[in-house]
Amino acid sequence: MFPFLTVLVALPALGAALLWALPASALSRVREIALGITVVEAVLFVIMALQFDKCDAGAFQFSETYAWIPQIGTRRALGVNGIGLLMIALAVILVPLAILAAWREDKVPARRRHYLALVLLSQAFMVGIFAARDVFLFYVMFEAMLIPLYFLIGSFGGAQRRYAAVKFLLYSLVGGLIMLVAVVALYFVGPGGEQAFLTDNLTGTLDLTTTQERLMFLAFFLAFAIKAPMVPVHTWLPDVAENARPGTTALLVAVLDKIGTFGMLTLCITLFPAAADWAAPVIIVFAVISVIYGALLAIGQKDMMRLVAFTSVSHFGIMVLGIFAFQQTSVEGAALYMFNHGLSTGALFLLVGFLIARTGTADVNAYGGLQRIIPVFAGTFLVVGLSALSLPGLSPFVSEIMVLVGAYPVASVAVIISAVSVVLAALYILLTYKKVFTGPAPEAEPATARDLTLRERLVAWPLVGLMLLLGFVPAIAIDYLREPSADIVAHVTAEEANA
Amino acid sequence: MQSLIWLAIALPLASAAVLLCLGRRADAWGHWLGVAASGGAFLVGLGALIEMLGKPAEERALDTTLYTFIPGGDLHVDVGLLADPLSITFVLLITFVGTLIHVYSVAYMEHDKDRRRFFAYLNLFVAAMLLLVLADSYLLLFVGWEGVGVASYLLIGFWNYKPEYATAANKAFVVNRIGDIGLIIAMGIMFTTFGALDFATIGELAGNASTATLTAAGLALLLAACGKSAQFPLQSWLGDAMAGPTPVSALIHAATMVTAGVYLIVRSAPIFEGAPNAQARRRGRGCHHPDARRTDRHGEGRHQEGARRLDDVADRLHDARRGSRPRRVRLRDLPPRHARLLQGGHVPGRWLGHARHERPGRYAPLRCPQGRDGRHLGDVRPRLARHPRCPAVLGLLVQGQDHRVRLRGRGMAAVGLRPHRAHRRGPHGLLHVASVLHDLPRQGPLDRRGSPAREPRAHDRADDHPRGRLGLPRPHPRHRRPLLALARAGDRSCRAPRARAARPRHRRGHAHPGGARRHRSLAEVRPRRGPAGGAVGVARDHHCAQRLLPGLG
Repeated sequence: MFPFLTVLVALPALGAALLWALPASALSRVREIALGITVVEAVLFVIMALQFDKCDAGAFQFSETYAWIPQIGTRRALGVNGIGLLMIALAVILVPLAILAAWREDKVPARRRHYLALVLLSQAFMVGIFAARDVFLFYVMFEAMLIPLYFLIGSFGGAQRRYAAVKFLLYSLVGGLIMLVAVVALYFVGPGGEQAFLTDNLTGTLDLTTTQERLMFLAFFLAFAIKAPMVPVHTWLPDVAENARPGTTALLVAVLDKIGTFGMLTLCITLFPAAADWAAPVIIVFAVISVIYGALLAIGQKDMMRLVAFTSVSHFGIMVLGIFAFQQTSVEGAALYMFNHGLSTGALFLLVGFLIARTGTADVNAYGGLQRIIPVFAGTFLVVGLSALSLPGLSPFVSEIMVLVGAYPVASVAVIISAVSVVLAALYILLTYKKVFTGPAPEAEPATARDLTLRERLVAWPLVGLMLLLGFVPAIAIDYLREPSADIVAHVTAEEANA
Repeated sequence: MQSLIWLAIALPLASAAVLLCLGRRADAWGHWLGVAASGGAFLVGLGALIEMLGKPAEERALDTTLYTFIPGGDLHVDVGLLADPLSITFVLLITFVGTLIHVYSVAYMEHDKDRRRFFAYLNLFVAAMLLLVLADSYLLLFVGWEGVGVASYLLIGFWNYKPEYATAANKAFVVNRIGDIGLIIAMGIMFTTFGALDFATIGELAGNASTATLTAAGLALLLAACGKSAQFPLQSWLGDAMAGPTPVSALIHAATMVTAGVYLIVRSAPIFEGAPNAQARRRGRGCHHPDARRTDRHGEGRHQEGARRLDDVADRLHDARRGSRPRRVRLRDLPPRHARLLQGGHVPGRWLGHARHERPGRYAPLRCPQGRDGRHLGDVRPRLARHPRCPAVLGLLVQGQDHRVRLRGRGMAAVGLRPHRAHRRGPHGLLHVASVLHDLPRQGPLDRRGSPAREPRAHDRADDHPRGRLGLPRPHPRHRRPLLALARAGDRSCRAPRARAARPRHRRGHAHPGGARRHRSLAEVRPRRGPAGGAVGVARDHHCAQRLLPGLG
């Protein structure tokens, strides 16, 4: 069988190497080459997804394992279940769009080359993380991914970008190092041998004392909570969003932050179900705080990039609420939200980026009346904004309602409080739209008065189309999530039954 | 025409999409397209009305399922349209008034260069409103509900170059969303209590729910209705909303949108009938009565509701004296009309024994057999466990559910005969029945009357249930859903047995390990369903059922 996953990981990595090795004469074509590589990647992914057997979406498919470091029992084991497949789809969809969105960002070809190569490299790590079936491999990718991201944030973007990059690196490193302790501990308490770190071997077989299990759970959870920014460890995100390029931020929030929730689902709960069950009430409290606090802060922002970042904090809170309610429907909803939030927030960041490219400022108060001069842009922005407030007909709605309704049986108070975010979401999106797009038409400046160009439409409209499709026929995606979610819930319920 | 009622939604929706996508290119003829789409929807509604009037009164409701919206493991929602007299009435109201307003707007908006966009929004509004009144589940209703909200936002803010108009639009949307919280909470309560969100299931099961649950759901629905219908305390948006062009004020605020709240209340009648307190609030509010509680205490309601409530009141008075309040006797709980419905999911209380084995209640001899969902067979279950022919009884249950599928096929699915949703889901049905029985071995001893003894059961302990774990009050035991996560991982299209080496699987036709079978296995009791897919499904069902009911197969 064709080793799809290895190729999907290797292709962007080799592409990055190719870009760095490109002779100076070919530098003018660097964007086309990078885009071509990501398009080939997308085509390969589509071929793979068509062969995915969704009747067995709970099991790892396209599995490949190769020996890696036999002395400590790590293997290069790849494989995807339904959730992993959707996450890889997100990475594969958004990277070409981000490259297209940054088409005119750099005037100097050499800088352009660095940017694109770093984006490709981070795509390789994204796919690798979502496909890893070995905890050690997951950890290595998790940490290695910081390298391209550090340079993406620190080298390209706004005035405070170095500060933002260091802040991001410190937060991520702290989380990663705590996780490393747990990974090492896993080696000593695990089965050992040739496949000491394979998730399948660790699931349900670990013989831990209660304290050990809880400590290891917390170590993993902290790393993932930092990655999926949860209050109170979210503070790196707004700074990064404000200072990094919109394309970078879109990738970071739409895809990379999902590693946090993905890790909670596939590692935290699967490996330590009893501890997850133990910690769930506190985690749900923090999730609800994230939902409300993030939304309130979003309402108060003047900088649009920070605003979108805070909306993400709020949305991630809903995902975590769904995951730790341990109900079939809520976990399905949370997994679906991971995908839908990627589409919605990715599109929102990229659109704000287009706006900044026109005027050079992200300050909401600097705008007004744009609907009169750039109606298509305004309409697209409104649709994407409405998706961020979970309007029915657009895909995030389905996932949000599944989380809220699905979690109600066990966490009704948390759901009722979180439901307030429905109103807050309407406020932060519509107030922004009102300030930027409504009101009397401003004096037309040629730079601002450019409506959505063809390139920008190619970026935004596929995302809008996908959201509409999944908003009306969410069954397409839910079919991939039902079985993995059932497995995850089963781990916890089995543990409850034992206890 | 009744089965084509989806066209009434699709026509305006398609027209709105065309107008919005084509932009300026549709300026010349866009408004006429909008009028035509709205008029077409009216004609569809009229056709449905005529067809409906030709049927006998009890067969007038038609539920068409278009496709599966959310095929989740626990939550299953179809995109289904319910064309019954109530919804067709609203369809005609909306499309008739809507079409007139469309025609009016052709001239009224003539000098606006965005007239085409205005008609797109009008069409969007009509489509969302029709979805709202035709939906057959609360979730789908919510889609239309919010769609109406956003369409009104767009229409009120149509002239949003004036900042105060843009503010009015925002205000309308945000205040409406406060009401939407109520609908979300109501859906949460219903999913918790009934395990489904469609009107049919909820209507059937509402009588079994506790008054407190129904009151909570009713109040949440009331909040939603207040938002949409601009009732105190969420009335503030309506005045500002007159910022929109005049046809918008006519369409939204006079004719259709504010009736959505009324529609929600009417459609939720089963909830409100079981929740007299919420009902009193509603009634008191409607007529600006100063003291809503007193309204009900003096019993005005029962005169309004007709004679059948009288016996409820007498019963409650009696129970109040005795200090207990069992479920009320209702003379309207008539036996199912079709004898075969006595089997299957709707096992009546008496079927498996004498009436004296009913739940202890003073009025048990009065009580007619009543349809009850299989999930709530709390009192049947313990007897079944002792039954020497338990598997055979199980077979009857399964068989009964298949009768009902055939019954539907013959077009006899009038409202009173609608089977529980779960039974339409093919293999799910068997799992569903199995789920009822899956904790048989855990039942405690029975007392002399055949009821479960009173000491707490193992699964009633606080730490066992997720709600207990979170420190929340546990739901009433009768409404707890069995934890079926293991068994339910799949649906009809997707039933291949999982490759798990550790666990032996029994395929149909293979010898069972452990010697000859004494009973017919579950898999064989269930009638064959179809080609290959069905056979696989049976194997899978058997696998699941074996796990749930060790010793059965």
